[in-house]
Amino acid sequence: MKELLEQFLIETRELVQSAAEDLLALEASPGDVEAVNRVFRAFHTLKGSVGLFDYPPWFALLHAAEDGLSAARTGTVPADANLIDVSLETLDATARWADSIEKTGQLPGGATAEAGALAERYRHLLTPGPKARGADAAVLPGWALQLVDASADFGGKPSTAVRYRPRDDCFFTGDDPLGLVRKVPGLLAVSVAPAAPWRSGEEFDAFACNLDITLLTAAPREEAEAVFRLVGDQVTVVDMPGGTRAAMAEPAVTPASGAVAAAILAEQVRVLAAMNGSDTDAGRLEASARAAANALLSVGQDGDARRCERMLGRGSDALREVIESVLAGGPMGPSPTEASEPTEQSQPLGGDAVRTLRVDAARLDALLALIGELVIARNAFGHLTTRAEAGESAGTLIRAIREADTNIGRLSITLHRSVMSLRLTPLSQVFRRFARLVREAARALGKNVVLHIEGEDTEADRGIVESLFEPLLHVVRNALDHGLEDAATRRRGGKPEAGHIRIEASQDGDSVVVTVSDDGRGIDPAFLRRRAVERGLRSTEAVAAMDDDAVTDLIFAPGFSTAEVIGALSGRGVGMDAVRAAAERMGGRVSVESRIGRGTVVRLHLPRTIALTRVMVVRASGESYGVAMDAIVEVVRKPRAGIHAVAGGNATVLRDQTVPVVRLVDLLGHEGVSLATQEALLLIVRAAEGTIALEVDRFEERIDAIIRPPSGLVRSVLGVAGTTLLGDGRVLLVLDPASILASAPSVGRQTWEGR
Amino acid sequence: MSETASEPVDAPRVLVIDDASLVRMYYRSALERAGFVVDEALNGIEGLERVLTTTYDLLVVDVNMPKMDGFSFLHTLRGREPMVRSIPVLMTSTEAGDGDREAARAVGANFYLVKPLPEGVLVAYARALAGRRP
Repeated sequence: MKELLEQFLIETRELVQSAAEDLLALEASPGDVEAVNRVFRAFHTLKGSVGLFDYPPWFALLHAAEDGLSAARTGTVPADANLIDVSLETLDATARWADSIEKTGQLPGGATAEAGALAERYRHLLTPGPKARGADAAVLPGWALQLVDASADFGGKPSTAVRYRPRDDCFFTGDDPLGLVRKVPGLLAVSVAPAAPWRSGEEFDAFACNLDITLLTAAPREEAEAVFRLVGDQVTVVDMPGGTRAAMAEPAVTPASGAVAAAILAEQVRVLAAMNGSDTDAGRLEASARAAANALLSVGQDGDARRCERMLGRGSDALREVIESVLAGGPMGPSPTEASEPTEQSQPLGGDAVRTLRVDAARLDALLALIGELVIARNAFGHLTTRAEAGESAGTLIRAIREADTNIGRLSITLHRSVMSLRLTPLSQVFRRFARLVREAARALGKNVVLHIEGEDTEADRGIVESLFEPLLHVVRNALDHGLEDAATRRRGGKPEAGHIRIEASQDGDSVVVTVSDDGRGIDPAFLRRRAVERGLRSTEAVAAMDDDAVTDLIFAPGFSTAEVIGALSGRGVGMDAVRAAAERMGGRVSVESRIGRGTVVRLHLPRTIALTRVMVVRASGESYGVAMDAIVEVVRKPRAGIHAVAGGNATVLRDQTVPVVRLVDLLGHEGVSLATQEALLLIVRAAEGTIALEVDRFEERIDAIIRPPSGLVRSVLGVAGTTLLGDGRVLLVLDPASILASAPSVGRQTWEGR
Repeated sequence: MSETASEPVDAPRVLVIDDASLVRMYYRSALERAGFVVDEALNGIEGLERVLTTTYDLLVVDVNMPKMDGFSFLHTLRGREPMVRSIPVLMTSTEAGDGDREAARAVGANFYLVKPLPEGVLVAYARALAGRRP
């Protein structure tokens, strides 16, 4: 809710800003139809978002504003200075109210009256001509205006508003507050609210009257006063002029109808899921079908309503599926009129680009099916609650809960995968940019180059496709500048004059391989060996011992600028280390293969999607760490007495097996503070030599995380599998226990000797 | 109050079943203002009598009532003849806990709202559940 509100405030301010600009533009060039449209859309969107929250006066004002602007749009009223003024004032009020809601959580005092006055001005624009009476809504008290808001059949007739606050002791003095209210003739609306917040528990005085009654009547002031004559000191009477028509009435009492319909549909899914084969099932099924159909009718989705009705004879599962598919189909149409202008809704405001994603229908269907499964899996918990209430033993319940958890875990991972698949984008988006780029670069270099592109339909995650351009550009430029020889050299080498560069993509299981190959001169290993020694990267003996492939890989070494390797035509550094870094950032890797005189092939192996890993969060010496669940065999609590000091370390016995115990803090080289707890918490992990118990201070939670490969400083830390962001924004180091153990040979060996 | 005015023939009809007179009055004023025709019953038994003799678009049913509470009423209702058992039910209670919500689901309530109900919320759900716009 808080997030929704924050988003709402951000969006509101943006809309206010853009609408104000458009209004000023409209003022500068009257008759600008597009500007009127944009202002209307901004107000329309504002109204829609305010409707999600409970700010009736605000909503009513925006509703009135929308009516006014809609009339201006159709030309019924002129988009003149009057309309622009009141609209700018409305935006000003909107901005102030957003501030107030951010600071205090509510509209400022006087907002109801201000909203009423502004709304009245809009309405006045719509109904020009003699005004009924000098109805200045601004001077009317807020409670009276709220009654008007709430009264649908008020109809703009003059009326009387009464506020009656009975004395605390009225029940003892013989007054009957509600009896009096019932005697008021021509009652239009009644509102009964506590005068002060209800007290709880012992403080509650059941005999004290705590009511604040407001009512609206068509009767003249005198008649209303006559009813309350005996309690005149507790009553305020206000004349409501005829002009205060309650056009705000309907929206003010209606929360977003789409949200209500969606809530009702979701509830029917639960009601249907709770069916238990009793003789009331038929009634429940019919009532749910009717409720769902009604809810859909109320938002103008008549077709979906009929689908629900048709499912009646086909049982609860069929109906549930239909409702779920409707729910998954996106937000409920707020009203039939709005649903009939979808193109307008999706048009960008002020011409801004909107990020949209085209989705294959089959993928969406698969997603829907999964969501259905997830809803069903969730229902297991309701069933479990019942079993728990029935007193079932903890053991069986734990098993059932674990099973349900596994099931939901599996589904959520599949769901993640499916959603990720929605993000799959063809690489053609990137590849296409190279056609022109290569042609122009080739011309600039005076080379004759033919570019081949293959496998551009191969798909990868949008994020990966978007980050692919930079590294690919490095590699292609490299091939152009340094790989391909000029025409004369190629002729001498017996090659066709035109050089060939090939960019290919293919899918290989869960990864995508992007290859850039050229038929140029290749990389000279002898030159690289010399270079590595000159740069002090490797010793003469070391390079001599390396085979040509290993030497070729040196081009990825940081600081090994190969700009001059084969004679740079341009002054650019090639920076293959940058290519490697980019590939690793994406969770992939890069390799190179080259034959002198034949050409070079650079391969980027990239993940196709961003994978989700199940991680256990543990605490050791005040820090949280993650360990991939894959590596964990089990978690165990052992009494301290069960951990024995053996030669050079600790060990414990687990199912007749001796398992070495290592404290995680020791492995990490931290100053470990011994917690001296009665129990040791052990994470049994798989290591190269077998299983080993890692002692931690606390088990925290299990999370599904996207593990980013280590980068920057972290990369040089051994035993770190990567990092992930926790829900609260902290960065969690995810450890690779096997490699920490390997990197801490002393600890490892000592404990192993103790086995 | 409704006794004085003539009722529109085609307006959706709601039965409010609640033992608290203040609550009934509040619901009646809110729903009548929204265009519903409102009848009242004080408990489940009275409610059943009404339901069997009048056609309703929606029932607004309280949970805690003397004689026959909301759950028993609803359970009985859902097991009756087709015309009667399919009426959408909006159940209201002062219990915000999950227990009553689950129980309401189990007897086939189509929505469950916790009291006190803001007028706008009551009307919005009543409209959506009754399906016909007053």
